[in-house]
Amino acid sequence: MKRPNERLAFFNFCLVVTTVLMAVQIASATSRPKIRILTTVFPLLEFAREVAGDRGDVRMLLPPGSDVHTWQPRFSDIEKLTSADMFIYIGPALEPWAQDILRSMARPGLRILEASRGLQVLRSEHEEPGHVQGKETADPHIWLDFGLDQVVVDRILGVIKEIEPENGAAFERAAALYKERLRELDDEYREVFKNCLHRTFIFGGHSAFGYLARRYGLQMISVYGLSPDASPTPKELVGIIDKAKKGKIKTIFFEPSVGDKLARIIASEIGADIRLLNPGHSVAKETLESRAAFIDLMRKNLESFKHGLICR
Amino acid sequence: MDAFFTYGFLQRALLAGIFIAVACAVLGVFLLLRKDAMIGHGLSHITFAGVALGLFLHMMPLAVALAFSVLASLGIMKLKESAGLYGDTAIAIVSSLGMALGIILATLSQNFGVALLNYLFGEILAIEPVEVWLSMALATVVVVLVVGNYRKFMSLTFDRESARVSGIRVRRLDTLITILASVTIVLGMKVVGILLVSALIVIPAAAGLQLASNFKAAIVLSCGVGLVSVIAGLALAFVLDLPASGMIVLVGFSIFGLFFLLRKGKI
Repeated sequence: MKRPNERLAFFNFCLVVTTVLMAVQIASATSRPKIRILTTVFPLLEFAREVAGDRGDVRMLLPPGSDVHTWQPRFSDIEKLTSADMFIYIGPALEPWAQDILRSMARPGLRILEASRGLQVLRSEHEEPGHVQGKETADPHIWLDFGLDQVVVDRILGVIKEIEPENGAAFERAAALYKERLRELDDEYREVFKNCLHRTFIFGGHSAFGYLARRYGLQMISVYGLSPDASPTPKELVGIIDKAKKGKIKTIFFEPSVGDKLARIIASEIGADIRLLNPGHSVAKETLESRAAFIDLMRKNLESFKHGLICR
Repeated sequence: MDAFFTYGFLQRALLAGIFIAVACAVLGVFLLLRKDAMIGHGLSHITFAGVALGLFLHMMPLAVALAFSVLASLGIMKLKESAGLYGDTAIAIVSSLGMALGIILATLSQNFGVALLNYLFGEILAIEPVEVWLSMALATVVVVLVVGNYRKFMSLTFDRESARVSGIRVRRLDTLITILASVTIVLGMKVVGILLVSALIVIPAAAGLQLASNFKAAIVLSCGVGLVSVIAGLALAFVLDLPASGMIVLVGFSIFGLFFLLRKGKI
């Protein structure tokens, strides 16, 4: 006679256990630590932040306003790397220090993504005789090709899904949404560059817009090489001024991290104005915190291009 | 070569270079005869810290560097007098302090890129009109002061004791020369950069002293060497497509070598 009661008790017991287990699971899901992602340049930060959404704690290894071409990690930066789940960088051409550090750390929990690996990388136009060939001349500014950006977003998605497979669908949705925005941006650029008086632009900064120029059939003449270090010689500057004169160019572009000095000098020689183009790798703190700032920056660049290349 | 008449930025480079060369050459003769050749080196290093501080504070690096350099020059004088240090020990201390502060501030400001490199190796292509005027004013002040106080400076340089006895305010003139030297360094920094600016002070004066028979001749020769260095250096840099700052110093050194051989009668 006891049987049904016992059965009920067992059933009740099971119910309690499942409830508790479910509660524990929900609690653990909400309090579960976020995916800690470190990136080097700002576009990678934005891509990772968009894909990971609420599940990501995405930070930049480099402080705002610093220039990745000349930055070197300090002790505290290596410490940050040891507590991250994922590290995204462009490649040895931009962050030559990354490989050494990552090799010396050899932490199995850290997933590393070299964003530019295997992509169709541009070679420097500033190749001079005697210049070291190889890594140094590979153009690292891949994020200025909005098609390549979509590939990078997919790569980031792949790694994040590996880290947290249970949220895979959400990550995929977020990545698709962001890629759609990149596609829109790409279309806007194509549309604008269809009807421009000039196809050559002179950039008083470092040679950052090679990918953008390749994608939209423009020609970039930059004052500095791939990294903004060695100043131009007088002859180089005269050469650029002559080209600007010949091309009847009316706008010289400059970038924030290099400053407008050389752009102003070229502009005053040929009677042109100057406009800002932000390569987007290092940004101010305020920009860092706002959402979709990379796409906004690129839209502002497009406005500058529209003015400078005289597009309808 | 007509590029120099066509392009404003080359004209500004040439003009500023000429004025700086004159100021450096005149001051250089005094400093060398006072056995103070290294002061330019020391001041340029402390100027590095000033520039880095300016970049760090987002203030005009040139103005901060100027303040730094003037203070440091007075500090070197004080250290030399009262710390009982031999020879150029005071300069060695201050210059290494300058580099140390410079590297720390530059790292803190996270602005280690172009800006700092331009100060290290000169930015002769980016000289603003106001900087041309400043260097002209500096050269004028240096020349006028030296011509006006020629006797005082000479006796101060050759025999401090009798200068003091004869009623010359030695300290005041010392301070004046040191301050002028630091202003010259800061302006010269734009032309050849922090790492090479002391060459503009030392090499023309040293070359002039090789051949000059008297003080006046030394100053005139020194100015000549400085001018030729800047003009020929810039022209060569343009023709050979090489950095201007390096070429200016190389030309100066070649003239020095030539004068040295001439004096030894080897040529």
